[in-house]
Amino acid sequence: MELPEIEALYRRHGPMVLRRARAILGDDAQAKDAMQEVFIRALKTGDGFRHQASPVTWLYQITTHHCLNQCRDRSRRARLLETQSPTDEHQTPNLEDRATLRALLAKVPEELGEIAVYYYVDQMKQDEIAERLGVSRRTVGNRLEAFLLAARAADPALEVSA
Amino acid sequence: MKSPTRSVDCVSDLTLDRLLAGELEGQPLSSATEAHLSQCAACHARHQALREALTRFPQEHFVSGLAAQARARSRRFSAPKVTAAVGSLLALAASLLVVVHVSQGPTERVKGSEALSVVVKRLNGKVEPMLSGTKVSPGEAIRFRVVSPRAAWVFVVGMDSAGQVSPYAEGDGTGLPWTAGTDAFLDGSIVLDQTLGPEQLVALFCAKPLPASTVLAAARGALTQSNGHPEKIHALSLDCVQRFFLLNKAAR
Repeated sequence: MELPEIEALYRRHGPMVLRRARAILGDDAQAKDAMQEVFIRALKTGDGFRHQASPVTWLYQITTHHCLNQCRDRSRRARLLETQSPTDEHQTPNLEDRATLRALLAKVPEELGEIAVYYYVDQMKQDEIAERLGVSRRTVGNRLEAFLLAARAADPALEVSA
Repeated sequence: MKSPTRSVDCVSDLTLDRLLAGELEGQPLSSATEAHLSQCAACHARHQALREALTRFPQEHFVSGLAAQARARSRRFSAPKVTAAVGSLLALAASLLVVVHVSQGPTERVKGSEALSVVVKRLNGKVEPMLSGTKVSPGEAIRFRVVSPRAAWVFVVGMDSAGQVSPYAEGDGTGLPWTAGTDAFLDGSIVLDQTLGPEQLVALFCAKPLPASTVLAAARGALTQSNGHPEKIHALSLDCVQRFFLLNKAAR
């Protein structure tokens, strides 16, 4: 792919990739690094990317997987360093709070984290997620329930309304 | 289970992103989404915000630099095999990088002015950062490190006492796209030839791409004006930020 074509790719899709990486990672510098990794991945696939029926959907998937891996790596490093940020005991965590969601994404299996990102970050409907992942709507519902169970197990104080 | 903020009828970010990328043209989803946007203030506002982010992106980010960096890295990863000669050069480059990083600590992003620095790998294998004017010998290898707080198109050119002008970095012929705040070694290293005497290096940080021929002509002009004394060159007739570094090439 030639430079002008790659630049056009950045202009068309860069803001989307960066926005989602920021939402998942919560850090500007890491989000920018993630954007570069996602585009490098796209360039490495060459025609594979260009021939995608929906490049946007493909980039959503790659960005989600890359950022979930980053969340898990970060969590691992944090555990190694035993750095725990002080928590505000008066504040009840909930999934609308991005910081709470990020912390949980680092702890749950990837297939649950992926669905949680689509649902809570991208605000997709369950049938849209099902179509995106090629699974039934029931499976999406089950995995969201599993995510919430895992979230409650990780943090019993988590506020989750039915 | 608590549902996301937007209502059941609302469109997701994925749909809005696909709409903005033109992926929904001619599809029923396109007209349905447009119809929803005309009725739903929340989704309309979200659509506007995403559209504005598209407009802002090239103003907030150095797109050419990001693209060039991504292309270079994607090619590096997919390179099939390298020859033994290139392999040893890469090994040398890697060793220079490792030693300098260990000795100087992490300096990935710094604020300040544009700078050119040089590290040398001596014939005995020792790697050390150089001061301008330091003696170097044929067979030793040098590597350039460049930092710029601003986005720029970077050239590195050498002018030696034998009247030679050597382009060491020029990207695709219009300068190497450099992202604001980047502090990095240029790819590859230069093994010094048998030419002795001073060689003036200049790193040019240009606000826009320039043909390499223009840069080389300016370097030749400056070398001619110096009467064969490259150490006396302190400016090229180009409207770019210029940083000089003198090599003092002498036999061992």
